[in-house]
Amino acid sequence: MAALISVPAGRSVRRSQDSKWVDPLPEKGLIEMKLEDDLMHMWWKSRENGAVEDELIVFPGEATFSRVGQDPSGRTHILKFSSSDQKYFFWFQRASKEGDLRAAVDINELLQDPTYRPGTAALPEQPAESFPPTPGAPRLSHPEPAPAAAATSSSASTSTAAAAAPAPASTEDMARLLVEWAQSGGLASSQDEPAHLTDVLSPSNITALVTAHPGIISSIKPLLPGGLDLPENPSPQEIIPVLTAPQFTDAIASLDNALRSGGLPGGMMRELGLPESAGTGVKAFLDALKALKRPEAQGEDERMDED
Amino acid sequence: MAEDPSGWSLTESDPQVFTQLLRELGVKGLQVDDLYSLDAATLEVLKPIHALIFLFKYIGGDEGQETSGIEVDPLESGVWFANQVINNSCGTLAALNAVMNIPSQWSEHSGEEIALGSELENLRDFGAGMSAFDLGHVLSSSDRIREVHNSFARSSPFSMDPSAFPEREKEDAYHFVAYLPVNGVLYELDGLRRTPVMHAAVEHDWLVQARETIEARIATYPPGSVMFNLLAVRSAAIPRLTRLLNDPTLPAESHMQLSDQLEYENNKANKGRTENTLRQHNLLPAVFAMLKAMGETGTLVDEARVKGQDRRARKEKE
Repeated sequence: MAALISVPAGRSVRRSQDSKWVDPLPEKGLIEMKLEDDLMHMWWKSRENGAVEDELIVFPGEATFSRVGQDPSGRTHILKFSSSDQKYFFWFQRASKEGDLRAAVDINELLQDPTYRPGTAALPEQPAESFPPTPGAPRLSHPEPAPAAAATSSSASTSTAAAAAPAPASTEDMARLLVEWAQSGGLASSQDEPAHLTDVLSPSNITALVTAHPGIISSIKPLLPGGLDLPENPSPQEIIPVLTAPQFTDAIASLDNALRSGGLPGGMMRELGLPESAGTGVKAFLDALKALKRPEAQGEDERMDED
Repeated sequence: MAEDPSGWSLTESDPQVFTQLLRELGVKGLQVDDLYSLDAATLEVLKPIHALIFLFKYIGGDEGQETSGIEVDPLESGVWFANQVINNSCGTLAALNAVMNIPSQWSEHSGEEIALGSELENLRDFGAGMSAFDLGHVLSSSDRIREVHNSFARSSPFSMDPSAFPEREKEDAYHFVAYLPVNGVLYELDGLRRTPVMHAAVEHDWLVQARETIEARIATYPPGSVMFNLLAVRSAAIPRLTRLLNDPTLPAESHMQLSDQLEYENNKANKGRTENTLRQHNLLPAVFAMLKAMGETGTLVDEARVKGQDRRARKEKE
């Protein structure tokens, strides 16, 4: 079944845990929503590598999606849960701002009512506009939204008030933020911090691994419990739901935790065909795994790098 | 695995864990499901419902008002009620407080009989006349209950720091309360309270009073201060749906709807069986095999960096 809605958008993150500043990340992506087993799933998908991140299950009425009034560009939006203090920020990435409001209204309506059909709700009146909009009609122009006041609905304005910048940010502020972000070097700065194994072996990475290298299934299958109703030689499609089950994430987290808090015995590493030092921490463990790379995998690796 | 001094391990508050736990304790004819809403239409699909289990945890702010209702003596009111006397058992205890009060129901249809089973019947007989505190000790010293409960603990050969599971539910963070009717009265059974709490006389549908009571309780917490979740203890669905679908007099429009329901229940049961099987197995050898495959195929390096960045970004959002 196709997604109910797919909106080009990137993610934005708080500058620090308690910061009221929210900075856009440059990666291109999509916000998508889909009903599965009567549950509304919502996720952000990278358009660069197709990886699905931040997959959420949202119950009707549990969350709102609205524009953040404090962003003068009008493109930053917030997904806010009433059942918890979770908040997710996104910025719309269509070349034209035309349609941003429709996309925001459609996402919000789907969150309230899974049976909603995108494109059918009336668009709220924009205070900055001099003419009354025709409900549902295509918009010919999209004036710059007025700062702060132009939230998409009355409930949305209260829900965003606490979330973002304390005062309307000026264009200079936004420009400065982007420069700072660029100067922070993006990916480079994270190399001193070892990745978590749950991210290295995330469900999407497991899916990619097994799909690209179905040959490894025959070595994994005998390590799984019997009684799983798997055929003798399962296909990637058959084995992926098992390998990406939440219980695997728990097992991976426990391994990560063991490596972080005191490490694993060298004898155990030796049995795995790794040097004993691999058990001393996450970084050493990952480095030892990387050193396993077979020469014949080189060409394949280069090809993947180009993707 | 690090043993809690009580010998009871941490388990998950997953409906499929409860369903299988009850089955392994010998309970017949019941299953546990997530309940996403208390509206009449949602409840209708799941009926008959015999008990609700309300899980919640505080995430800050005021604790709200504890509860309304009247404390009653379980021995006088005929309610089976055990206190929680050890850690890590709150979910199992709430499920037992519920099922011990669900009347047995004979059925001529195979798989539709509701019964406690001999294990729990013996415990109930043994504990007749005991105080809630003593019953808590009887349950916690039952080898069989502890063994079944622990078989659903997260399997890991490592000493377990519960903080290793930041993104998944930890049972001990939750408070479990069962709501169900006993002899025409709606009770709240909270193992951390001294006694059962009586809420309302039940008319023809006890869920009407239960919904009002639970919604009123939720309303006493400031918005955003609690996370909660509801589980329904209901009659096993698959045997009933299978029987109804085999009935030649079933109208065609109901047939479609019931076969959808049956397919949904079968898928859920299959997924639950897979997850429960995985819970009861050491998955690390397979995890190592996948990590090694990633190393050998050269697909690990850059992913780790990208994801490290990603995780930091997520943390900042939280």
